[in-house]
Amino acid sequence: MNILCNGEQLTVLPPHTVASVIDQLNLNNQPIAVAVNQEVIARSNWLSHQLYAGDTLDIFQATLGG
Amino acid sequence: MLTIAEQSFTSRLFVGTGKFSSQQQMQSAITASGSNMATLALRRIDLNHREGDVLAPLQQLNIQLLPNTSGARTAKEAISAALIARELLATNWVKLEIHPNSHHLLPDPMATVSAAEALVKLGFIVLPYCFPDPLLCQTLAEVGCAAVMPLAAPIGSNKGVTMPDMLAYIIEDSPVPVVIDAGLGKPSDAAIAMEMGADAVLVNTAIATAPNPAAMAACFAQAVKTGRKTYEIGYASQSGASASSPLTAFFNHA
Repeated sequence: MNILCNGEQLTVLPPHTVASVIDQLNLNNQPIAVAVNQEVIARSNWLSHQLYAGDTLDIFQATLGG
Repeated sequence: MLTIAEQSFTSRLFVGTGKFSSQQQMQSAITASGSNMATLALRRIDLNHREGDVLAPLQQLNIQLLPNTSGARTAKEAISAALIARELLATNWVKLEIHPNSHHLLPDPMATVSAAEALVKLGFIVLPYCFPDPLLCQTLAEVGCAAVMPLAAPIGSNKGVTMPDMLAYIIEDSPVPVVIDAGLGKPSDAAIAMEMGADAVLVNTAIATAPNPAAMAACFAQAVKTGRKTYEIGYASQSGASASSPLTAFFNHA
């Protein structure tokens, strides 16, 4: 199924959880934060948070700034 | 010693981490500044062009990280950014900044108050970047902000303290610490703000874009210390001309 990940269409593999997408994108153990449909999902809930077709998944990282 | 939200800071200079030409320059400048707190921002990961981890080098410096909400144009976006920052950095401190206009980058006062109020209720320690408006600063303190961060001049402009009279009202009346943020271009600008009684200053562009950022960071640190000391001692008041040497008849002007 497809989701919108950081503004781009992404075909995700089962089991369609936040954790499985993070794994698919090779972002395991990275200092990142995730929001699904504009709601922040705590890292402890990534495994259980189910994604559905058309969901918006945004992945954030820290960057330098003033 | 400066205390914000029950946390003590040995340095009254806060620094931003943007615009440095290399990570190494940033690290050495932050170290030279002696600062205890540095700001950073958030971005959506570009999945096609991944950026290296900027957190690890900052964490090595053993300073407090203050995430900002830069990029937010509305109160709602700023609240989202703060929630993301809290999850990412495990901190409830946030530099609230909402500047929807890229021409002058001035902060939206109404959106800032509204977001500040919501974030305080969510348990955040909110440090709002704001216009040097005494009534606005009073309102931000009333809704529970831990400090106020009025600007000296527009972000990145290096113009120094452009509205000293307004900052003086704010410093005199504020029940919370006043951190002068944005626009301080030279160490003397920081000294002026500190001599006026500001509790701290936040500097980014003037250090990061200096020919030698680490040396400039040390200069700012010195200026902030001297400015603070001057304020604590109390400086002589201004008046008309008044001789500082005796005007005795030394030459015989017959």
